[in-house]
Amino acid sequence: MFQRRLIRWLWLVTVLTTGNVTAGQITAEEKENQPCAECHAGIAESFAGTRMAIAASERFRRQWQDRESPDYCMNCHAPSGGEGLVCADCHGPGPHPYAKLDVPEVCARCHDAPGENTVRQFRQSPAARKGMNCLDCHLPDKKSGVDHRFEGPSVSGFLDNVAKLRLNMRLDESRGPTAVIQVSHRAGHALPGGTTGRAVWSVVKGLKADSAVAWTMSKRFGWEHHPVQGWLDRTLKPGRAAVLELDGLARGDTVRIRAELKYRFRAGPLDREDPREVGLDAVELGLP
Amino acid sequence: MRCLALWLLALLSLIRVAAASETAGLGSIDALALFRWLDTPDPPLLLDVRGRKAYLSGSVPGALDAGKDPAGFLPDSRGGDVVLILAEGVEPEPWRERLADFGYRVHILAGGMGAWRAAGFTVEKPAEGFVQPGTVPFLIPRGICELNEPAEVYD
Ligand code: HEC
Ligand code: HEC
Ligand code: HEC
Ligand code: HEC
Ligand code: HEC
Repeated sequence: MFQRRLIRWLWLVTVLTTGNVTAGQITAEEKENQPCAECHAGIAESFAGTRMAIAASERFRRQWQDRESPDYCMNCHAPSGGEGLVCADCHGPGPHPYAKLDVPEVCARCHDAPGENTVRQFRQSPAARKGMNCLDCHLPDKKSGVDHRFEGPSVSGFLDNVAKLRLNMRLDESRGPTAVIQVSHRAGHALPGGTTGRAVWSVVKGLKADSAVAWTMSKRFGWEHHPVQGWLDRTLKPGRAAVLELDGLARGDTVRIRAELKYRFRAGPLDREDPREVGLDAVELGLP
Repeated sequence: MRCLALWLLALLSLIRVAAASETAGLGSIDALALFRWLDTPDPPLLLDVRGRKAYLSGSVPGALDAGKDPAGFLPDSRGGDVVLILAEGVEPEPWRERLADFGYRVHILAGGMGAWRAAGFTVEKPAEGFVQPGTVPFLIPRGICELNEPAEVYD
């Protein structure tokens, strides 16, 4: 026991003094027989803080263990068993030297399933055309060489300035005022990215002079499931603004309208509360 | 030396490209430059002012139908860059003035839709991809994460 500690301590001193870990100081056998975290402490620590590392936590298992095919779920949530993803789920079984990973191919296994096309949408995005990849946005400090934080919408602030609403009005003689709304976003894939479990809503409200709500119209962007056609992709595509037009604005003493864009961590209807909901943008415009 | 000459050549051709888009007219932008601009995280607002029929028959993806009458268009006060798609022969001045009042920097797509089409870029028929909020009832699934079971019908 003491001996092992001594070795580890000596190794640490070497690393700290040379500022580097080189193959010569560690035998191949050592590398394969110790937990990855022994040597890759920084990486292991930052990965442990991610959603992926706890994708099949205790709570998740309790909630889902009575499903018919937990294996199906675990293919993505914990392919190697345990609490969630582990190093080998992306890097393969080893041994050293590990091959350099191809991003985004390595992510596609879980992020490009039916009802989920994050990687496919990414390939058609302005970000991909600019030569960026997943890590440019999801590993904020990737240059450090140890960052494995894989940040996403669960991290507060991640969704700041991700989407933008433009609310204009066209005065048609026949139809009365029509709201002409544009929704654009800067994610490197569809918005919402990820699986069918997320949704983005545009909510347009007619407001009376005292700010009471006269009417509400909402539209959901995300995945829909059609009984015959199966999954329908109604997400906001990358690099292409979506356009909405609404008329009949003046009813119910409306004096101005307010458009909001919301990111929701649940697929279902708006009237079901989502404590994690994030407002992406909001804008108001008076009726002429 | 060879290398330096190549760099100079590359630089010159870059300057030529920039100049070409300038000569398209003051405040105007050619189809390629617009395509590139739309492909950035901060694209301009695109207004099609050719009228409903022309708009529905095909426009630049993401363009809004602002109607034909500048006085009948009320933009939000967020300002920024706006690119106008004008019908042939239509004077841009009334639009420029109207939008400038709301704090917009106005640019004009040189050659209008004709130039956009000629350049071979995608033309979108807004009516097709048009989202009509709240018109269709749809199923909200629980998700692949919940074995594809439709969870609730919502309208
Ligand atoms: C979600 C997928 C994923 C998981 C899980 C993952 N990694 Fe990585 N890792 C990557 C990617 C992507 C890179 C960067 C591409 C590359 O270097 O192959 C990387 C790079 C690395 C590198 C090389 C860093 C460098 O500077 O060259 C090491 C070492 C590493 N990972 C160790 C680990 C360890 C240890 C774990 C478990 C705690 C782990 N990884 C978990 C995706 C992952
Ligand atoms: C005894 C220390 C040690 C252990 C344990 C260890 N590694 Fe490494 N690893 C290293 C060193 C040192 C490097 C730097 C490259 C080299 O010299 O081989 C490295 C490099 C890597 C790389 C970058 C690619 C490469 O092979 O150079 C990856 C990925 C990696 N390790 C993953 C893992 C995973 C996954 C585990 C657990 C299964 C693990 N390592 C366990 C010491 C270790
Ligand atoms: C230009 C930056 C950018 C790039 C490149 C990018 N993403 Fe994203 N990603 C985002 C933003 C912003 C969000 C949050 C909004 C959304 O859901 O689209 C997000 C969300 C996600 C989510 C949703 C997570 C959740 O909890 O719902 C996943 C999964 C994801 N990205 C994976 C990827 C993968 C895999 C790639 C590479 C193929 C990638 N991203 C490339 C910016 C980016
Ligand atoms: C083995 C399957 C698997 C692989 C491979 C994988 N992921 Fe994930 N990823 C998941 C699961 C499952 C979640 C959802 C975790 C949760 O929210 O419970 C997730 C979540 C995420 C999130 C959201 C984090 C947040 O804060 O919401 C991002 C970003 C992400 N993955 C990026 C990547 C990238 C980039 C790669 C490729 C380098 C990758 N993933 C590879 C399974 C995987
Ligand atoms: C193809 C890969 C894949 C499969 C299979 C899969 N999931 Fe997921 N799951 C994900 C990803 C990726 C996320 C991250 C959220 C997102 O992208 O929408 C996620 C998120 C979740 C969440 C929400 C976590 C949060 O942060 O809100 C739950 C719950 C969940 N999955 C349960 C399941 C169950 C139960 C199954 C099996 C019936 C399953 N998943 C199968 C990839 C998968």
